Amino acid sequence: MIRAHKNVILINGSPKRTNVSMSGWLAAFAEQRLKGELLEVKLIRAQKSLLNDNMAHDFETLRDADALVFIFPLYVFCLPGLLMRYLEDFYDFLKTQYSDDESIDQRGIKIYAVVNAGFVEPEVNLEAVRVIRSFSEKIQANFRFGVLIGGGPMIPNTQNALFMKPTIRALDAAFLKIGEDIAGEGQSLPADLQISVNFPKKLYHFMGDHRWISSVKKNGLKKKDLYRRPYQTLR
Amino acid sequence: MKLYIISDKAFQTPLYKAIERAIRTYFSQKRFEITFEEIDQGDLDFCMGCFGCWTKKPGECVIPDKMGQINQTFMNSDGVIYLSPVVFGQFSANIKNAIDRWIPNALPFFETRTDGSTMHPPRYASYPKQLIIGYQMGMSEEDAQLFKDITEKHRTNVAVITVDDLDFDLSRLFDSIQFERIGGPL
Ligand SMILES: Cc1cc2nc3c(=O)[nH]c(=O)nc-3n(C[C@H](O)[C@H](O)[C@H](O)COP(=O)(O)O)c2cc1C
Repeated sequence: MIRAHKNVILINGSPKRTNVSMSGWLAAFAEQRLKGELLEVKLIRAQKSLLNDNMAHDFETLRDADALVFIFPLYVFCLPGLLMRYLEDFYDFLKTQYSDDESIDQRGIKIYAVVNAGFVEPEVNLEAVRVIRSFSEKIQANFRFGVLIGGGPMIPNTQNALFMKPTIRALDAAFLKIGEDIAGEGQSLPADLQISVNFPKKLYHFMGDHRWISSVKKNGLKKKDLYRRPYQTLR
Repeated sequence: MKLYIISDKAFQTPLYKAIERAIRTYFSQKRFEITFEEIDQGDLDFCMGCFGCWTKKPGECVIPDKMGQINQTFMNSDGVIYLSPVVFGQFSANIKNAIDRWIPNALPFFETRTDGSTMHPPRYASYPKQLIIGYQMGMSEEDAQLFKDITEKHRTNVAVITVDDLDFDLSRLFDSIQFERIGGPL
């Protein structure tokens, strides 16, 4: 029998302790676009696996997949600590799967990185994509390309707004490209994709700053409390 | 002068021990008061991206563990050295989590820098001078470059160096850095 379909695992790497996150939204979006006759898609949430000590089971799934798509937020210009723990542990798991004189060899697996950031500039995610590339090399997997997304937190709430149309179209195209690349035998390596919100940066900053002020107030504090310096007095 | 050293307890390789010894020797000769923080797996909960440090308890992480004390010691030092393993060209999980959970020390607002990039403004008037030392035996040039880019492309006032074998000499680097508090952008 010809093995017609491929197994794709979407790893949601958001450290948020809830399903509601930009990475969760992107993973659901990706699942819809990717699943079909050729691709079987499964979702994994790294934070949940770590919490439930479900890693060994996850790692077997990852090891046996045809493609891994890491979907995560940018934290201080690279990967969140939680996702690093997950990757370090996956690497250690793979080492136990091979005897000493054999190197880790996941040559068959294609790897993709989908990184979203709070800042609007998609290129801020470049180093995070390079980390996933470096990780892929260490496990001798086949890193393909990254999708770099700026202004992430704005997207889910405004996905139906007119101004968000180009961004949603670009995301559609990005996951279509990932799907084609997984299904295909393509030798050529696609370039990274950069996607941002079609929104003036000054206004994005203004609205963001406003959101911080309204959320401290919602928490029963005053605007000036935002500026507290709890560790100042000691010096 | 107070120097705070934050390191990863899970990666105490011979290279780590050699660097640690070099730091202790150099800075105790210079009469620094040294505080060592070794972070092990399980010592700290992971940042959960709740932004409570900006909107619920501004300036403090809402998770009640050792991180509060680490941030307090950090903010009250003259210099801070992160001693991080280089893993996949990045900080190890333990060190990265401590860096994620450092963000209470910044303000939430967005600022556009002169080069057009975005950053958060400082919460405090001054911060300790920071040096990041990334270590791993025989790391690739790509990983070393990536480790530097993560900080150098995006941060001001934070120095980075990588060490990839036991034959190193950090004293000239230490001579060139003033471990005293500095103001200005993060
Ligand atoms: C600890 C922490 C660090 C962050 N660092 C950055 C950063 O360096 N640059 C950036 O653009 N956004 C940064 N963000 C914002 C997140 O990338 C952004 O909110 C993202 O949409 C969260 O995705 P999630 O909902 O999937 O977790 C940071 C957020 C947190 C909690």
